[in-house]
Amino acid sequence: MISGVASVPRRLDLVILGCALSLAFLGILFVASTTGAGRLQGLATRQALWVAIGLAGLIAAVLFDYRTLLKISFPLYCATLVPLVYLLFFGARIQNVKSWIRFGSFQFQPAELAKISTALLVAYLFENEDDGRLRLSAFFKLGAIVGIPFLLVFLQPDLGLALTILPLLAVGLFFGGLPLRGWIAIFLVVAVCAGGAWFFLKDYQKQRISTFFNPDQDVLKSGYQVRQSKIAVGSGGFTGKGFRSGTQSQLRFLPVQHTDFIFAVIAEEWGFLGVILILGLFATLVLRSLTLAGVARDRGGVFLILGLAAVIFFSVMVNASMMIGLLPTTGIPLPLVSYGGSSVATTFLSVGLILGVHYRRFANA
Amino acid sequence: MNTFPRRRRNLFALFLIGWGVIVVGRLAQLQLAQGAKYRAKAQRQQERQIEISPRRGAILDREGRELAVSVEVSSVYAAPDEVAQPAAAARSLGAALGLPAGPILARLSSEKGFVWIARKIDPAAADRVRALKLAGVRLVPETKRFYPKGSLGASVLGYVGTDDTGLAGLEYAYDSSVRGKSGRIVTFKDARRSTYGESEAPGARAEQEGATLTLSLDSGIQFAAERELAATLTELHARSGSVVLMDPSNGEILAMASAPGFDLNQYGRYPAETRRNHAIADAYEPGSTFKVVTGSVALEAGVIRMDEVIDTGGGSVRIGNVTINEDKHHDYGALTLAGVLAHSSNVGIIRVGLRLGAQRLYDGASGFGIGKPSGVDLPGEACGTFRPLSRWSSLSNASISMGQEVSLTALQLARVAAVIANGGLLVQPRLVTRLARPDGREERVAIPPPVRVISEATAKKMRDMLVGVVENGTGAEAAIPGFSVAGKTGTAQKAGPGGYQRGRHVPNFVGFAPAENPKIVGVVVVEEPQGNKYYAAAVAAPLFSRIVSQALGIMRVAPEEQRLPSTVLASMPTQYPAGLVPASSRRSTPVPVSAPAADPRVVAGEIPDVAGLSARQALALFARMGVAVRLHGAGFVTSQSPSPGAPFRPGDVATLNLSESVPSVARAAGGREETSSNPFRP
Repeated sequence: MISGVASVPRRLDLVILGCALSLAFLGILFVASTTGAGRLQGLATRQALWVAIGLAGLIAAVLFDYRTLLKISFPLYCATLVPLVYLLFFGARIQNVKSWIRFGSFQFQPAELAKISTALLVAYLFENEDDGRLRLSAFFKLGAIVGIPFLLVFLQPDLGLALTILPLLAVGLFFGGLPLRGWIAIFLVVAVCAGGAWFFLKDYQKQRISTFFNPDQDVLKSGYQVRQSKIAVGSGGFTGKGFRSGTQSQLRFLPVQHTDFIFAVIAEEWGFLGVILILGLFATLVLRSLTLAGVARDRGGVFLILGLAAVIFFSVMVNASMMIGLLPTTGIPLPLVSYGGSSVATTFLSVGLILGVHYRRFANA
Repeated sequence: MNTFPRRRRNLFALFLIGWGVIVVGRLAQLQLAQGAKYRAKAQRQQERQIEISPRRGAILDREGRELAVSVEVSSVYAAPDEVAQPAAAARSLGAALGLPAGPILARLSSEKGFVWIARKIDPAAADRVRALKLAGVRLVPETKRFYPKGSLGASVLGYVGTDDTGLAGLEYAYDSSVRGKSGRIVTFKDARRSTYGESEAPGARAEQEGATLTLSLDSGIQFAAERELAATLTELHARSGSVVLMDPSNGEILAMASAPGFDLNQYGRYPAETRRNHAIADAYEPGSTFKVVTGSVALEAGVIRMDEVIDTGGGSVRIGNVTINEDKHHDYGALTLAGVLAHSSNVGIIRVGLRLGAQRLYDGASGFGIGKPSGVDLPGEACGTFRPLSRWSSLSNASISMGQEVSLTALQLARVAAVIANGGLLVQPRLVTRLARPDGREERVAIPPPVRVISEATAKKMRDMLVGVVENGTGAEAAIPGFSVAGKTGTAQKAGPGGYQRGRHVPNFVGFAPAENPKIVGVVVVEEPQGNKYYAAAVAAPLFSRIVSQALGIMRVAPEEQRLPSTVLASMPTQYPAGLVPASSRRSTPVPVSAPAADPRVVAGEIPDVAGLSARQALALFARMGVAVRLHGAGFVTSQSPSPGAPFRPGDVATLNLSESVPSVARAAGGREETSSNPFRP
């Protein structure tokens, strides 16, 4: 099962690894910048620890044959859903959502792991669905595979985290060969459901969405976050105010700046150049992943890479779009960079899986 | 087997890149195109700018004594968004400050980031507020104006408002210099609480203390003037009054009193009328004091000689179909100009004025600054009324000659007197002599050079005649022991609707001392004394004497009688019985027309009878004859040796026995203007 260790450096894609490590490093740096003093002091060290754990997970994921994982993906999938169900009934509310499981002083979001197991199961589904067109049975299987964890997380209720599972559905439909009329049908159904879902959204979720369309109506409450992040980003200018000199972040005008709003911190302190660097690293990581998908040895590997890369990409773009007022704010962290053990560790795991698929691209490996 | 759909992958990649482009485009819009706008927004919400009012410069008198200073006090302000429980906070603040809670709550509920709760509170209240330890409520040091001498010089100094801007007097006139420049503290405000501490943010600047003013005012003289003026006002139930004392050589104002006064530290409790500086803001018809101007202009123009006799026969003069009478229908007969002034003859001065003519009277009086503000460095100066020639009536020439149809302020009249006192120069009155900036730079206040109005000779002649007024005329009560005094009385009636009003008088006096080398010119004006005592001779002249004698003492001007033993000087009574004119000044006073030795007591070659005279009067007589005197005791002469009528030679020594008791001999009845019967009348 474990083979070819000696040739790891030669066959490992160092571009993706480099991007991931750079982003993780920048993450630690800016977590340190925003949590220099006060009750958040020491979070950078914790983040570094999580990066180390994630790195171990990455290595394990590379060395462990993904094909074995695909084969046991259904039990894995079921196993990761168990804590989600458990949380729904017995979870403690932290910041108003039941998405955390506590181990001593550490907290973990099982939904992050569920995302990976879902990606594995979707990949496993398409390993065997190799028609040019998406069959109806596959369509419903895909819907169920993605829909169940989405609903469980949505009910926590953590809209942001739930949304990050959806790229797996999109990847499945798109690369699985959903015909154009299928897309049209889905679009119509979603449009109708969106209208209906409005009534099921929590008040604060509605508020966020209405605030998004009219940010000035409620400056001190919901609009506050968007307004403050836009001020932070905008005031950063071309070169930024300098590391640890971002007044918006240092004076704590930015909400949860070390987690979801860390992009705005970077934009403020390092300016346009800084965010281009971050976005450039992510673009390289994701586009490189698409290239790697092209050389994957089997259809399962292709879908695994596409699914995981799409999840990372989606998180990055939604997070960045939120900061600059292009999308309503939901709790979506910036992968690898935002503070948060579950997110960092599982993203490293995802990157590890992508690297692993590429690592084993040759049939004889 | 890889069944990778490349076409779809490229489409997918395009989608990713498209989203990325949108995000980067938006970032460019926010950060590059609108960066400045968002930087401004960030600054607005992060910085709190607090204006720090500068410390006002002090105002000092000519000896450097503090008249106005700024002391540190505390003011309470709040950042409403940081106050957790506004209602409770308002209640406790109200209790600590002794203010109603309602308005405080209204301010704490404000949307603003900064509201004042109470300005310039006393230290005890500040301690109480500090003890409350309310979040979002803070104290900031400010300065409050304090006037250590209370009401002294109130109308001159002026006062400041809550925001430290001068509202009246010198505080207003010199506000831009005295106020200094306000500073600004920029503090960073964070989203939850404020971090305090000065920053180096642009816009922060240190406050700059204001300049210190040094005045020509002497607080001792000012105090004396105010005290005496207030006493006279109380005694006569007069409406208001003013006193101006000025150095005739340079226009520096030594005292400027305006009564009734007010306490500068509580100026708000006094009506605006009380805060008025009557010495410069009120123009009144001077009446006979204006005869100084008419006389000087006539002398300067050469229309009258000193020894020329003016016929005031009949005691009236007819202008067109109007007859002007002497006061109380006196008939003085033939008078020289000196006599006209000494008796304050209306008919006499009208004849002089008519001889001068309207044009020359107008030009001459204008030269004395009549009708123009003096230019003193105080706000609210009235310029008085002096109609242009084109608007003079047929009566104007006569009226103006005797000080009617013209009005001026006490300060303008002091300026007129200064011309006579300093030898013919019109000076610019001034209060501020030095302006010291906190950085050590000093500014001498530029004073326009004096302008010659009349020749030194004319001024000398007028001076001598005014000495005569005090010596022998209506100004007798203005005399000051030890000094020669020159001056002129005036009792004007107040003009109102329908002519001059009965019972509304303005007794005033203008004069200077010592006459030979004037150190002080003074003007006293009393408005509307009630009752029968309203003549300047009885009201204004003695007030002048009391004030100026104290001022001379404070200024350490040596009495002119240097030969007097100090024991005599010390034992001299300060008050003389009415009509007793100290002789000291007579020495230098050539009595008009008659020969210098016109004293009826003096017969050439004989020892005069000096019984009943004061020591100095006697000394003066003997001195003029060259007889040395040995004094025994102090006061008035009771006996003498050699006896009167005895022959003497220069170099002889006479012995005089003196006693403190006032002699029973009534020597003179003077002191009533226009009615005085002067024993020394020529």
